[in-house]
Parts: sequence; C-alpha cells; structure tokens
Amino acid sequence: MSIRFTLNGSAREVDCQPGQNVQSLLFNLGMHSVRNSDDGFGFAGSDSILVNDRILNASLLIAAQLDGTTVHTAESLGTWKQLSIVQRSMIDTGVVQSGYNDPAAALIITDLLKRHPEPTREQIEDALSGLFSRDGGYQQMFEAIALAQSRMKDPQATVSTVPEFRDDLVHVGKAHPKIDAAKMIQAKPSYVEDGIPPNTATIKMLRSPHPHALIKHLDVSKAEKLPGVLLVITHRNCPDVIYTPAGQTAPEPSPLDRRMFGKKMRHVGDRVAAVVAESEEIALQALGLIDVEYEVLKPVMSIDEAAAKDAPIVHDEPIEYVAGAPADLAEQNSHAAQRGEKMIVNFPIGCRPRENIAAGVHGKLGDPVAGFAEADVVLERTYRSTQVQQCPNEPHICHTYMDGDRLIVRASTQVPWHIRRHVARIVGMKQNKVQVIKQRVGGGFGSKQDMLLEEVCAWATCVTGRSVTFRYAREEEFISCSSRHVAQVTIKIGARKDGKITAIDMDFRANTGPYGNHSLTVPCNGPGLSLPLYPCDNVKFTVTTYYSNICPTGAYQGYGAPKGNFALTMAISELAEALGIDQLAMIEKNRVQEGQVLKIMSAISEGKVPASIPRADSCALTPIIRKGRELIEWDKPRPAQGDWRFGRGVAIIMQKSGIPDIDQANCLVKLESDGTFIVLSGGADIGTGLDTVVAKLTAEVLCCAIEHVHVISGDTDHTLFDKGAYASSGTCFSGNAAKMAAEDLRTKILHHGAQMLGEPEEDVQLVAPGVVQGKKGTVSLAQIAHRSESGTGFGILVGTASFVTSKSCFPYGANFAEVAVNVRTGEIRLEKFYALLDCGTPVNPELALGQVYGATMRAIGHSMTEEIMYDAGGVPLTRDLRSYGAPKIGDIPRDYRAFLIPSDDQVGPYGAKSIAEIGVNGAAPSIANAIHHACGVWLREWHFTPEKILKALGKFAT
Amino acid sequence: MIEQFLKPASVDEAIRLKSQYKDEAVFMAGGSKLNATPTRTDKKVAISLAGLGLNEIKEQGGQLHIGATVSLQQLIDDPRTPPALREAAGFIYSRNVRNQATLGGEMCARQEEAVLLPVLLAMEARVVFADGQVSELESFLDGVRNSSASLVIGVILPEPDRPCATRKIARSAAGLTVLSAAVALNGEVQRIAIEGVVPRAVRLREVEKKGLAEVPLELAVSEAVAPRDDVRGSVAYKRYIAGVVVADLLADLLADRQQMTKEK
Repeated sequence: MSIRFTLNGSAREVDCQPGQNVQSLLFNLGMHSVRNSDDGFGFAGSDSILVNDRILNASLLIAAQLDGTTVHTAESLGTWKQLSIVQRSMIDTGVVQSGYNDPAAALIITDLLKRHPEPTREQIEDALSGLFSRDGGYQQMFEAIALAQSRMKDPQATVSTVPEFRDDLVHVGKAHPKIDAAKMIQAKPSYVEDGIPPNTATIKMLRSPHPHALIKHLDVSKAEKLPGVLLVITHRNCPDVIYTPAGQTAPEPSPLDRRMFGKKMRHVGDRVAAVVAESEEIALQALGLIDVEYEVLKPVMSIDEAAAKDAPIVHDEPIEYVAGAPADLAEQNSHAAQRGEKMIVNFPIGCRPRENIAAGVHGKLGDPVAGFAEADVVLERTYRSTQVQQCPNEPHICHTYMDGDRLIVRASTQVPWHIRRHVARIVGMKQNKVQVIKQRVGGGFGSKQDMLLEEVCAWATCVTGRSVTFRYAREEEFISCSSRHVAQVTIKIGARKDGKITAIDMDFRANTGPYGNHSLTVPCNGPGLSLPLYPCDNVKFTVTTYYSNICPTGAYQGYGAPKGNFALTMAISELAEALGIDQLAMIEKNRVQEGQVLKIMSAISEGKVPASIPRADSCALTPIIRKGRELIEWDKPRPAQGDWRFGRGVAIIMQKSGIPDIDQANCLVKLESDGTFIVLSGGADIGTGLDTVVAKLTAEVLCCAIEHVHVISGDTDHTLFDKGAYASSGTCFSGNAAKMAAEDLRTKILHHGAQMLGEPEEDVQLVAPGVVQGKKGTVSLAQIAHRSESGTGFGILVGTASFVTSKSCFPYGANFAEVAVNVRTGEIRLEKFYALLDCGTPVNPELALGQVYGATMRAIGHSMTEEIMYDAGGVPLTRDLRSYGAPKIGDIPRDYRAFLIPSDDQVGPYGAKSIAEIGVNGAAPSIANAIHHACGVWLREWHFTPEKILKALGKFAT
Repeated sequence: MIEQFLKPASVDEAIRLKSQYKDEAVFMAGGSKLNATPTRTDKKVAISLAGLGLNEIKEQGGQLHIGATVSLQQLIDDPRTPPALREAAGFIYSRNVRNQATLGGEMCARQEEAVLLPVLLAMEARVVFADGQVSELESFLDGVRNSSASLVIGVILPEPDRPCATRKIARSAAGLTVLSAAVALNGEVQRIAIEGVVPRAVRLREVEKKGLAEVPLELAVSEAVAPRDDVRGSVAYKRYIAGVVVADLLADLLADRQQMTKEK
C-alpha cells in the first residue's frame, strides 16, 4: 500500500503494509524521537506524535491510518543547534536526565502551550497524562513549563528555581545545561537503538513458562531449518562457562551460579533457547517451532518457603570454591545433581545452596543482651516488602558486531568495564580484542549494572560473524531482568524511658530469586545503611539471602537501604509510641551527629572489612531536620475533614559515595592545540549528569569555560578503567579522578608555562580564561599547546590520575510526608512530600534536584502502587507497566519539593557527595509513619494500599 | 496484521463491505484497542469508520445524540456532554489514548475494564445501529444486537440532564481499575450501574428496586456484586468498596439536589 502524508512539513509517500506499526514506520524513516517503551500497550507515551494536531501514541496506530494526515514528531521542534523554547526550558530546569522520552515530553508540552498558553496545574497534568517518565519524577516539568511561558514573553527569561552553591567557585555549584541534553532532547543519535545498521540480525528468546523445572527434551531442529534463522543457542552449544551477571569489581562477592543456558529453569522467563534470525518476525516464528518438554518442579516463592525444612532446592548442582572452601564442601556436594553443571563461589560469603541460602553474614557490636536488659521497653516487629522493578524507559538493549578480529559491544550499560571482563571470558577472547562502548543510557537505576543480554548477543556475533541486536520487550523487563530483593526484616529494639535506644537486633532476610547476583551486598546494605543512622553501642545483625523461584532480583538504586531503613525507622516509631515520645523527638534523641564515629560500619562490609572505622565527617541533618520541621508544620495539628484524617511522618536517610578500598576510577585529560581539553573518563554517565560533573570539575581546575572541555566516557578502548555507575560512586570516584587528572595536567602546564615565560614556577599561576600568568607576562594555553606539539616541543601535555580511597563519604537527608487517609475508602492522598538532602556541594544543582525528585518518586511508587505479583503457582501476573502500577504524573504528591542542604566534605571533589541513590531510601517509612499518625494504623508491609488500610481498620472481614 | 484497510465513504458502504468480507473484516474507529498489543485484532481486513461522519454530537428534542466515532477527548471538550459522562471519559487516564479511543469503541469492545459503561447504563443510553434500529444499551451488552455484521453508529442519551454521578477506584492514576460505578436519579427512582466487580457492566436492578440508602444500600450492593480475587484486590475488599462507592454516589446526588432546592 502506498500512503501519503505530511511529515514535519514535508510531503511523504511510503510503500508499506497497511497494518505496519506507525512507531516502527516513523523510527525507520529517521524520526528517532518516536521511541518504544512498552511494545504497543499505550501506557508510556515515548511514541507520542501529533496527528492532525492531536497527540497520539504511534504504537497504537497502523500505517493506513496515516494516509492523508499531517504528522509532527519531536524532530519538528527547533533546528540544529537551535533549541525551541520548550526544549531549552526543559534542559535549564533539569528535566532532561536519561532523556529517552524527553523529546516526546517536549512535543506534548509544546502542544499544551499552543492549546493553553497559561495552563493550570490540572491542564498540565492532563497533557502529560499519556507519558511515563521514570527518571525525573515529573515535578520539574511544571517548572519547565513555567519557564517556557516566561520565555514566550521574554526570550531572555532565566530559571529562578535552581539554587547556587559555593560563591568561591566558578562552575561547581552553578546551573549549566547538561552537556549531552541538547542531543538527547532533539533525538539525535544517542542510544544503542539509534545506531543499528540495516542487515543486523535479531535475537528473540524462548523463556520458561514454569518457575521451577528441568528441561527433559529440547528439539530446535525445525527452528534451525526455518529460512532466515542463523543460529539457535541452547545449553548444548553455548559456552560452558559459569558466571554471575553481577557487574561488580572482581572477584565478585556474588556466587557464580549461572550458565548462558542451563538445563534447569529457575524462574518464569528463564532462558531456554535464543533464536538469531534475519528479522524479528522470523525469530518469533522460529520460537514457535522449538519443541521443549519440562519436568515441572515445585516452586519456592517466599523466604519462609525457601527456609523451610525439606524445601525444594533451587541450586542443586555441585559447588566449587576459588578460595576459602568450607570444611563440609564434600558433604554439601555429596547429593549434588549431576547435569554437567556447577556453581562457583569466589570466596566465603555464607553461601549454602543446599539450604537455599545464596549468601549470609552476621556481626555484633557491644553487648546486645546487656543492652536489652538495660531497656525499659523492648519491642520486636517484622516488616515485609514486595518485589519492585526499575522500569527504565529504555528497555535493555545491546548491539554487537565484528570489526576485523575484534568484537564490538554497543551497550546500554552502567558497567562497561565489567561487561568487557565478563563477555571476554565467556566468549573466550582477550580483553584487548573486545571493545565495549556505553551509549547514552535511557534509564538504569541499577538494572543495567548486570549483564542480562550482552553475553548472548556477543556469542551470537562470534558464531555468525554478523551484526546482531538483542532488545528486551517490556514483559522481559519484568520477568527476566533485575528487580529489588524482597525483604523480611525482624527488628528487636529496646530503649530507656527517656527514649535512648540501648540495643538493636536486626534479622535481615532477603529473597534473591533464582540467581545470587548481589545476594551478599544488597542485603548487607540493609543494616549497613540504616543502623549507622542511629549509633547504638549494642547491636546485633544477621543477613541471610535465600534463593527462590521468583523473577530475578539484583541491583536497584538504594541497594538494600530502603528495606533496612523502613524496618528500623518503623521500629523506632513504634517504640516511640510505646514510650509516649514524639517520633521526631525520638529521632533527634538517637540520630547520628556530625563527626561521630560509626562503629557498626566496622562490622558490616561489602565483602571486605574497611581499613578504618568510618566517621560521619560531614552531616547536615541538624539544619535538614530544622527546615523540614518548619516546612511540614510538624507541631501544628490538622483536624479531620469528613472521612479524611491527616498525619505527618518523617524518616532520616543516608547512603554512601562509592565503596572504599574496593572500587577505583581513572581519568586522563589532554591539552589540545588550541588550548581546549579532551577528557577521557572511564565513568559511565547513565543520565545522572556525570559527564557534566567531569566537565565542570575539569573546567574549574583548569580555569576555562565548560565549552572548552569535551568529555569522552564509558568506552573501554578510549578511556581508562572505572568501576562503573553504581554504589553512588560517580561524583566522588569518577569526579575525583577527573579533578586529580586535571590537577596533574595543571602542574605540567604551569611547569612549561613558567619555562616559556622565563619565570620560576612558584611565580606563575593558571587563571581564567586559560592563561598562565607570571609576574612579568602571560602565555595562553593555546601557545603552550602549540609549543608542545612543535618539532622542538616537549610533547603533548596529558594529565592522568587514579582515584582510590579508604575513606567514606556519606550523604544524609530526611523525607517529611503529610498524608490524608480516608477511613471509609482507605484512599491515601500524598498532600505534601519534602525531600531534603545533603549531598555536600551540589556540583550540578538543577540535575541534583532532578535526581532527588526522580529517586523519591520511584520510592513513592514502590510505597504506594508498584508490585510484581504472582499467581499461586509462581507465575508472574504483572508483566506490563499498567498492571504493575507504574506511577504517572497524577500520582505525585500535591506539594512536592526537594531541597539541597549543603555540607563540606573532605573526600569528594570540592566537598561533593553522592546524590543519585539516597533519594529512594526514605519514602516508605515517612509515608507509613504519616499513615499511622493519621489513622492509627501501623502498616508493616509495603506497598501501602487502600485495601491494607481498610483491613487494618477492621472495615471488612477477611 | 491488517492487510487491507478499506475506507468507505458512507455507512451503507461500510455495511456492504462488512457483508462482503464477513468475519475476515473488523470495523475500526480509532484503533486504540484493535492495534494495541494486548487486544490486537487478528483480522486481515479493517473497515475504517473515520470517513463516515459519525464524529458529531447533536441535541435533538432534548436528547443528546453522540456519534460512535466521537473521541473520548471530544466528549470531554464538548460543553453539551453531561458532567458524569465527561468525568467517566476522563477515567481513561492517558490523553493520548483519549484522543484516539471512541465512544463506540468503548461500548463495542469486550473489555475487562469498561469504565464508561456505568454512566451510560445509569443514564439509560440507547444504542443506534446502522439499520436505524435503536436498542437499550443493556440489551446491546447482553449480546441481543451484537452480531458481527451490526454497526453501532451512535448513542442517544434520552435525558442528558438527569442527575448522575460516577466514580472509579483504581490502583494508581493510570493503573488497573478495581471498579467504576454510576448512580442516577430519575425523580425518586434510582439507577445504579457498576463494572469491575461483576462479569460485565450491569444495572443492579434488584438493588434499585429497594430504594435504599446509606448502610443498607452499601450492604445490598456488596451482596449483589460478584467479584473475583485478583491483582486488583480481594473479594472482601471489592464487595466492601463497591457498597461504599454506590452509597456515597447516591448521597452526593441527594446532597446536590438538596442544595439546589435550597438555592431555588
């Protein structure tokens, strides 16, 4: 069929199938703003287009419907190097983070302002109701729209909502457009999907329909014979390598417990066979030709089921140890299943697979028994949480191809260096023959810290020699990806009558699901990032992580902290109630103070005990709590209105800024001929603005404009090793490496500048704009660079640095919530939510605020609406964004504000601490506390639903 | 996948094409359901309703005639749309989808969630077919006139000013709907309709006849519905909340009426 329509002002005639999906049609016409986040479910709106001036989802249209229409995509906004007012306003207010569907947002907002030049809040919410934005938390959209309105009247209007920090610095602490934002919001090639050439083969995966099963018969011959099928990969022809998908520094503190394909299925969605074909259609057809028979086993779904005596064993294969094998290893292996498979443990992590335990650790401080004896009140409570998923707007995607004898992996990953190490080992290549190039990442939140499809894609390329791509469907994001560990935390806590806590016993049990990636480190951060908030002399903790047959878990922003903090905060609140003490007063009585030694952290580690006991060297909790108390009007009663009751709650939070003595970052800065700089940073910017941090730090040290610094990052060929984007390490580790590399280069510049000026080095200094100034004269960076390159020069100037540290650097914060609870319907309305964060010196203030809004909104979603649910047989039921409960703009708190409260830290660059993760740690306890304050109900399992409220209020019999 | 997209210029031509292609063909209005992944049609032929002029809202003799291809957003934007129907159209959270989905589509698609139907049922909407026949919506939903050859061309609201209130209970702004319900008052006579907690959207006629209010009404509705345990909630919760929602809707209508009487 030939269809004619007008696309962004140009007449088009396209030959296509009438039923072709319009999203793929327009994307293939080069309109890369028309992206796909949900495979035609009509929820995410990344595919928003204007058809005859109406916003529609392209995925819900077929080509024939375009015939005779006028279509506009986000490519119609602005021109090259000339952003539209809306695009500029979105960037300037910090909206653009990972950027995947920000072009769609820009189109929607442009349409809104055309219809309503002075939109109300309701009209804004209505306009954006079709958009699912996971990274930014929606709030800054309102600011962007207000700024765009101002600029339509006065093009020079500036942003007024972004605070500034550090008057003594030029770039750090000041707003500056994120350096990759323009490219992303204009939908210029940025992501993996933007660079996949024609003639690239596609992978589709046949996945287990059973949570626990053995493959008894597998016949792929019919699929292999289907024309267009290039390869079918199964347990028979995949590399016989055991690994963990966890993207962690080696040796990983996670059991190596998976093979690319195995004979045992451990979750619905586990890999059975991968078809590599000329097209997606052929691959899908081939999946239907694979004969497979299973022996269905009883699934293990909960922590209690996994811990039960005689529970089915999830990992029954032989166990090997690289180091530190336990004395009873032979006994553990005596009844191992002999399927030709095995698992490997790098070093002792408390892994006991025959008890369904993937990892475990315990520790103690002081004398808990004596501490409980000293207490006037002792409580013991158990808190539970359900399973939530990261839901990045860009699904997992990879593209691999051969360049001569080298394997190129274009990935949407948080850990390019770990991916290279894993892939090289699995496909049997040397690391210098494998290049991993991190593209812009359309949201990760921890889910892209693991290798979930890269090794399969790489192997397909190695076998076929073809360019191959593998992209997850949204359903696969839920069933075959990564999610937050389910937790069950029992807290025993005692305090004196005055509220002083005398002892805490935290039993943290986690459900890791089928594989043990992050099974030690995520749960360890439960006690690890909650107990230090309330320093106590007598503490005991136990961490046990169980295998099960739920869909996989892994790293998720916050790691174990949200779960640990929920349990501990709630236990302290319940204790406060028992003692008749105000919740905030109880926190103030027991919380960490600036400068305090965090003794408990000497007992909790991520696989390596810290060299020295960490301290809270910088901590702005005092001003944070003071401000939060005022903002939320903590002491002012709010009377009931009809069936609505009002309540307030608070939770203090902390995070880390990288992992001392385990992780490392490296950087190289070189001076170009005209006095500008190129930075080669190993760091992985996943939308958080790390490249902008690196550029700002470099410009600050080298006294130049940010535009004179170009950052190349996340490319294993062209940059130096970096641990990757996790553990909130970007600003502190990768940032410090960049700052130190710039300082190294500055030393060299000053040395040669002084020589050129004929002055002693101590008499010269580097000053803006890029000039070495002596007492007698000046020489520019361009002149120095030119001299360095000449035939008689001293060679180009390069600064390098490696950053490691034994010191810790903790951001702190608090969440204050006010809720309204309807005691008749159970509805919970978030009236106010204030997130106050101390990230030291905020390097990118507007982006830091965006990080806070986004992380907090994800945590609110987890607290209120999100859950992966299963049927009685262990089959996941919530496999799309809507049924899962992904929040939209209508779910944000009515009064939603974030504040940056600075402190001065000595570890991070210019006093900066991390900001990305901490925001997810406090929503659940602050909301649960507010719910209790409102209606007297303690909700000990999140998320919090009307049904749970009503049940607790005894409104119906169960 | 749709392989032929037919664009009739009249209702008669659309009917003729349907009788020609029979079960191979499907009528397509906006396509928000037929093209969406979870509800995608397996038919090969689409007969477009876009060019039939069924996208108008008209007042005739005190009745409101709404064309089948009027989009949900058009319903919201049109001042003649009764407030409860406007509110119900907004129950489809995404403006993108509301721009595409049509009133006819909402009635004809056998959807698990049918949030517009309680209002239409409570307002005793009538369905107009291409052959000129008119049917009660409830009969239509019962399948009396739901053969694949019939084409719905519009809806008549006989009393657009009838007091009516509606409400949806959902897990999140755009999330799964637990239920939606509507109550209308025809003088003193109640019209109660509900979906989500019954096999398909229905009038609760037995409850209506009793003329109850407050707690007795809550209990009667709770008894009358037949919910299932699923991801949206337990049976006990659904029974409870169904009763509360209906009783509250009636209370709101009565309070509005009292207020209007006072103002007069």
